[in-house]
Amino acid sequence: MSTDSLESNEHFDLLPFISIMMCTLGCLLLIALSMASLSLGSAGEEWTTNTKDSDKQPILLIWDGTLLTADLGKDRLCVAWQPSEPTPTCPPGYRLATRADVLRYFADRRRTHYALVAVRPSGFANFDTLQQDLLDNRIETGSEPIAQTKQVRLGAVGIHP
Amino acid sequence: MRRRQSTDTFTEPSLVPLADMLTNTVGIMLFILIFTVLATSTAAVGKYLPHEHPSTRQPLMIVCAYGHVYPVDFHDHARETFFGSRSQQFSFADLLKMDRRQVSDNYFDMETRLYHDEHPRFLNGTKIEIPAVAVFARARPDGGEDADAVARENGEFAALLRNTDPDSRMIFFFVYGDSVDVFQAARKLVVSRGFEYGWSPRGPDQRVGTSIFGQAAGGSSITAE
Repeated sequence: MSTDSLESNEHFDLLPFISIMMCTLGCLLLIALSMASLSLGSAGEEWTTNTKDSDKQPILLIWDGTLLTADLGKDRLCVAWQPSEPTPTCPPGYRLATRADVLRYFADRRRTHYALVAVRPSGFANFDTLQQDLLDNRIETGSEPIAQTKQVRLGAVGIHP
Repeated sequence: MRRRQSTDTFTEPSLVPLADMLTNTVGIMLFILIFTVLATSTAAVGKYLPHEHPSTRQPLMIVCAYGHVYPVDFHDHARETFFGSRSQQFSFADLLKMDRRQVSDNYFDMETRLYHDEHPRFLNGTKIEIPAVAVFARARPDGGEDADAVARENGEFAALLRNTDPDSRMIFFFVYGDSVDVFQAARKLVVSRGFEYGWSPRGPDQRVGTSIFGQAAGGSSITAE
């Protein structure tokens, strides 16, 4: 009887410790998944096109209803497509250009490239004007809606399913 | 005596290994957390985009507004609303009565407008001007199907596609800024069924329109992707 009592006194219960560790692990896992979910929700998009559909390469333009931005190789342009007061400010890293600059760039490449326009909701109302201007200059277009603040970039062009 | 000795020699187990395990686990999880945040912050969701091309297929016009897809061909719906049977013949007098008529139903608030056809017609050498009829509409916020319903096989939009021939029709979406997600869900279904599609953005104050009688009725200059 006394021996039993001694053994029970010497027993060290690990259960509370393991439960603390499991709770900590669970909390951290939850935080990790939440952070991943939040980050993926605001993640940008990478657009790719199919060489099976067209022999032309896309050049990405982003239209927000006032400004048209374009990454033309090393040159990053920003164009106020329609005259407006005050003149809109270009995003950092973009230089202000004219409509003629962009139209000339595409006109020089119309046999090999086309304009792929990412249209933000703020640009839905007057996208027709931009598209018609491009078509009037015999520049082929494609378009796709993109959320107002979402980033977008062009992926490698290749054969996709 | 024996009992006292035994009690005296009892040594409390060290918690250091357990604390070590705990801190190791926390540390590894923190590393995973940091890695996850760094990896996802620069992530980009891939999307395949076909190249736009002109299409000769008859467009089936779908409106995406208020986060809903309106599962009817807007053109046919408008035409049937104002003219009844599609094969009905219209008299001049019928057409002249068509200006600014308003009808609301479960899907749209619609209004007709008369306009002069750009292509004059001649009767016995005399130029006649036959009025054309356009319908402009605003979607009703409580109509249509949301993205979940669109994806369902037994939904109205899925049924509309099932009853449409992808070899003769293409799906043309009118998309409002609040409905990009539902448009993409509907497009996914459309592409999976083998349809060509096209889209046109609409501003919040803009209505969708179609010509239901006249030269431009049916929409002949649609592009598809």
